[in-house]
Amino acid sequence: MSTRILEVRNLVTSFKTDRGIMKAVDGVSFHVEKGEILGLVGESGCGKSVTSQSIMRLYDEKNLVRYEGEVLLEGRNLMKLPEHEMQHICGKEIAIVFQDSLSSLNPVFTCGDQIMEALIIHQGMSKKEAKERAIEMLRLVGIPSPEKRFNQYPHELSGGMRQRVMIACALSCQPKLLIADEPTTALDVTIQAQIMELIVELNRKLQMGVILITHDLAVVAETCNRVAVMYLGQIVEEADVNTIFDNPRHPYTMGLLQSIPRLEGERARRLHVIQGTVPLLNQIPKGCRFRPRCPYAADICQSEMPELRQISDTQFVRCWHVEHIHNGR
Amino acid sequence: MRKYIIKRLLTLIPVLFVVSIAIFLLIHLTPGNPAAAMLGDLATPEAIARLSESLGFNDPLPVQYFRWLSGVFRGNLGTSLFIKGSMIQILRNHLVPTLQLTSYSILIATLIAVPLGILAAVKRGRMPDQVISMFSIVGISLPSFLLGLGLILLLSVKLGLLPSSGYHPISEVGWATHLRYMAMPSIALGSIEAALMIRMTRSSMLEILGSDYIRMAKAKGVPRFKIFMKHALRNALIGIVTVVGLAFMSLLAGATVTESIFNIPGIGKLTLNSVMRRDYQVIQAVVLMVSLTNVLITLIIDLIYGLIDPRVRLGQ
Repeated sequence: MSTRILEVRNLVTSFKTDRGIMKAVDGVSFHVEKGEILGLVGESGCGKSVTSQSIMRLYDEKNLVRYEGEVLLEGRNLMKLPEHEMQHICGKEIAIVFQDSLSSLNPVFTCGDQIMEALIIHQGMSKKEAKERAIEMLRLVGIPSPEKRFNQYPHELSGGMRQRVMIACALSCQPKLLIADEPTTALDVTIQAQIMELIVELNRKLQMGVILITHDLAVVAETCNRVAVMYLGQIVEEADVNTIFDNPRHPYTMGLLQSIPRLEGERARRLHVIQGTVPLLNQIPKGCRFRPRCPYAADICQSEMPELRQISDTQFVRCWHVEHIHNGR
Repeated sequence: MRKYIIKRLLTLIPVLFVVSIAIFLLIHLTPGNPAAAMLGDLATPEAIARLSESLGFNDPLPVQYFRWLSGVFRGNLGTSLFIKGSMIQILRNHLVPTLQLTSYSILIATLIAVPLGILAAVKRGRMPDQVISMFSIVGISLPSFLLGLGLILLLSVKLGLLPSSGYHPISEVGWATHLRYMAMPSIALGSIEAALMIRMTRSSMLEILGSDYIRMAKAKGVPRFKIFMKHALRNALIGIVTVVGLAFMSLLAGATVTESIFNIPGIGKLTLNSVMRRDYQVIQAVVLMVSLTNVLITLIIDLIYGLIDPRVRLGQ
């Protein structure tokens, strides 16, 4: 257990909105081991990003959001920390890489300034030391002529370069946990592969835990050790990566896997789609949340919500029909 | 950069040309005879006609316009019918008080508005925000003369703290007395301008506080205060500089009402008097000067944008 970096227990994130209180994350529990990459997958609007940003408590707690549950970073409950102590966690122990690097980097400061910032705050470095370290970081994330890039502004770099700068920002203080929130979605495929390779390489080199949020299952298959599948604010299935791909047991996971286009097989077959769309948070169905879109739905699914049950050493599923459904692929 | 500035200055020529034609037509198409105004109520029609003829008011408009325009190119902006001295001299004498009033007002407005606007944005929806927003709405709705009269009533009539009106140049009475006289008009104008600036600062701060890079700064563990003052304010400055620039432009054209109430011999008062006296050449010169300063201030604002925001590349 000592290798467990992060443990999230029953995390609930509710937003205060004009239409009432919306639970975007509803009772999520998972953990991340040292040196492990956990994939968090699901369609848009499933609460993946909210989960990750709740871990760092990035939402405005005074006006916008209420957290419940526990987030344990090496045993310390982050939800109980006062704001100024949380500032020492963010950027130092846990760091995040966002999807859109153009809007996530401050346009009026140079890339170097933005990498140096965390070093100066958390490591108490002088400007000169921080600069050396920042240039080292730029080199580490594979940016050619880092001395030149150091003085450039975010808009002067390409999308892939900017994403590398953001990764350099995140890794500058050698965090124990890196949250990568769709880090490659805004990039083209070749750059995507480079960035993912970089994350995996740094994960091995620095032995940090990684939560990789994505809806790209191919990326998950290549990089993750374990996978948690989210649907409407809940985890519906969690297992190691091989089990998820070889023996998915939740109808939603199966649906996701079947919707990957394949090169082999008959071309005439239409690509599988999961019927319907993710409902809005104020229209969460009673009982099993996936029921309206589930091909296996029965009466019990309508009346009662299934719990996340352990069905093997590594696999957890939230479905009434686990016993009847076998590898729907 | 230099090329860009020269290019911008060259655009002044067509702007001023169009402005001068427009103002020339506007003045000459309004009823009323300047000769009659000059000679007063008891003037005979013959005398008026004689004066009109001698001053060239009977010539066709294009002739009058080009006569004036050729004068301008030779550095002669015309002469006033009522005020002695060259036009440049007249403009300069009136511009100094206006420039002082404008600077003090903008300074007061900025000092009030920027901190309050930031505070309102940071405390969005809560007490401080509501109080500040209420004050700024009152300020926007309040006409400046009402605030001016109220201040005179309170500070000089009731409390006797400040002189009620008048203008004294620094060269004659020194800074202290000069500022005592300028205090009330500056506060009156400054508060009104502050009201608008508060709203602008608040809304640009709010927009920026919701942006991804602020979230990123928080994720890096940057302390709250530093997020506001470093990451957000620098970006919000663009909006703030715009309002300050606009306020500067409108005040430089002369705060006619405030200058009248406080009896400050500035551009606003000069314009008002000249319009009432049909002193055409003065009006033309003032409008020409105001358009010139407006174009220059816009240029300065654009240059400041370039300093604040590296994405603004001037001249490309």
